Amino acid sequence: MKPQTKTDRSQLLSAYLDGELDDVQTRFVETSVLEDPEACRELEKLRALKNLIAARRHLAPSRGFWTRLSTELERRKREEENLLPFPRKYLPLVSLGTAVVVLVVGFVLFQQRATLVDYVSRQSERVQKAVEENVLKGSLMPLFTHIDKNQALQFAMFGTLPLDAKAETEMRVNEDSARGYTIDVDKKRERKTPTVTVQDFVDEVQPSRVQFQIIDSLLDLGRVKLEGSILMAEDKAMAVNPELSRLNRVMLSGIAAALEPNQRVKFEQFLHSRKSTYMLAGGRRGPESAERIYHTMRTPEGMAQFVVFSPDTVLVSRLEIDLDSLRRHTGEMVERQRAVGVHVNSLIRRMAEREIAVSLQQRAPAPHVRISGDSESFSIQVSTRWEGMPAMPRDPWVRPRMSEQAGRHSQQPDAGFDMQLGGDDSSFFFNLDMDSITVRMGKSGNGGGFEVFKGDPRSRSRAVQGKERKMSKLDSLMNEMDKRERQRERVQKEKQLPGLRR
Amino acid sequence: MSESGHKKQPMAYQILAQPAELPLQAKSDEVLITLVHQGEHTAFRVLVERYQERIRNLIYSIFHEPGIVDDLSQEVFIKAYEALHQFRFQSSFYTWVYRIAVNKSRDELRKRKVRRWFSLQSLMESADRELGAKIAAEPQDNELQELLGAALKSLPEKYRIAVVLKDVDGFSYEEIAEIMECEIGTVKSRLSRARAMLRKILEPLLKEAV
Repeated sequence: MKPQTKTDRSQLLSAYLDGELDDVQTRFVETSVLEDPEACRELEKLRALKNLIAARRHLAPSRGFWTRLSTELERRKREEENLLPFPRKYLPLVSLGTAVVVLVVGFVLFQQRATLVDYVSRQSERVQKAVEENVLKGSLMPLFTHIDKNQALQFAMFGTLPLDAKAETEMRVNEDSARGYTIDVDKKRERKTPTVTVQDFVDEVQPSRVQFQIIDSLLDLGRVKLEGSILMAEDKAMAVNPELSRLNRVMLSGIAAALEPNQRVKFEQFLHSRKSTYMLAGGRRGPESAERIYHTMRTPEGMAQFVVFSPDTVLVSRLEIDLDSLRRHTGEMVERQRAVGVHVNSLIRRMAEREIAVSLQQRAPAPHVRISGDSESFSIQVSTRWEGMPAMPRDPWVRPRMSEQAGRHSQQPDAGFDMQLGGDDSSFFFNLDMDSITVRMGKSGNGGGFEVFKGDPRSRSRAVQGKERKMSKLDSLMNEMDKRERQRERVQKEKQLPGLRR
Repeated sequence: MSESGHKKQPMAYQILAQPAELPLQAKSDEVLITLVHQGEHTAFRVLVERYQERIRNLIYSIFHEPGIVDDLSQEVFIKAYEALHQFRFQSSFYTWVYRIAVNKSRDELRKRKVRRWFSLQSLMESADRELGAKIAAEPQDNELQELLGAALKSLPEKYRIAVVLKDVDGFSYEEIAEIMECEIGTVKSRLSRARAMLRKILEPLLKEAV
């Protein structure tokens, strides 16, 4: 037996000194030490070291060690017992009891899981309902009141309406941007909107008496639609009818349709000289019938769809505005108009403060409504697929002056369904898909300027139905126009049938 | 069944078979532990008094700091008292309580962030310089003890504990392996390594002794 390395030899010598080697190893070490002086020296040094350590002075015995130890043990025992609300000896029993209770409760919950899920689901629905019902709380007030015909014409030509008396903030609808149809509410742009009056229009275009009557009615219809398009609730929720985004174009198209070709040339000059965002595009066709013109302004049957948004929610709601009620409360509205302006500013500010970001992974159809903005403004972008959008005539009489941009928009691919409210700095952004988020709701009450009815018309109360029967003159006029249109189409079909037989 | 035809008795039965009239101090560790299990807490006092000095010296040898010896020793016996109901007589109480002491010491060393590499560095660097200078100056007895303590303290934890258990307390390799919870071969190599390190530090003293 021979150690391989110096370390092996050291280990053997060390173990030899400790008496931990067997007989063979012991004999080997003893022989090695006799033969190898270096191993002998190492062994001696190791022995000296061992003796040195063994001779190390011990500590003096500790007095009172047990006293201190027993005191500490008692103290800890008391602390431990104080922590438990029962004697320590019952700890295993209590643990066992707790385990049994947990098991029993777990088993019962598992057995009743269907009921539990149902209960949770019901509670979620209640919460959802509560959220929905809290939107549009209190009286509803129109954002715009007392719109005169001059303002209606200005809106038709430029798509703008001043929001406050000082005209610092304005509502603006756009079709000439790459974003498509948008409704913006923000600070007035630097480019000043020229002042236009109906008298200017009459002076330059010189419509006949009948034409003027049609145009006047058209402006009147537009004015009323404008007044009922943006509502503000006391809880700072805002309801916007997206139809508004195309209303100006429809109005302008109606005016153009009522004119003779030579008058249309003058009208185009009138628009061009005042830098209107639209230009005429009807060619030299003759004027449309009054019925046809009024038909384009017709509101689809049933309640109009509104986008209702508050700082916390955005939803689509079907609301019906009672125009008679609007007129009754017009005086009251003047007093309230100041409060509306404050509410609008507060809503915009609060929406910009939101920090909610939701990302939906699944692919979904492009949204129909997109709301975005920052702390000073908001913008509602409406898809052409919005069902509440008024139908454009097949051959529109007007088109945006920036037609190239509008064309680009029409080819713009549908955006994804990333939904975000909040985000960087103080901006917000929200996409609303009609198919997934359609919530029917409404409000009835006499406190506000508008009467808004809720849900299926068949389920309304008698009182509400009574109010509904009082149709406004405008409603009567529009219904009459519808009736005549249907009658005219029927007559045309009857005329065509004998020809076909031949 | 054993060869003598008697059934082998359980450990506790064998332990209690000792004469009852013996004073507690004369009873074996196992009997005292059984008595503690049975609620005789004064038996624990005898166990403490039997081993307190050895534990104190072990801790002193490891730390070379008299100030912490009593506190740490107290912690060792409190731990032993709390865990005594788990003692199953599979080892001697002596090695069991030493294992607790070693583990407590290790915990304390870890708290102080004394790592093996740090100790080794100390050994190689500062200890070499400071201790070398002192050792060369023929130290007196007190100084010799100090130097020896400092040399031990400079060893990495696992080497230090092994050498203390062997050369101070005289445990066998098997017992050290049990206390340190490692293999006998590991004990062997650790001891050899520890001694080599100590030899290097204490070389001048050893030359004189040889």
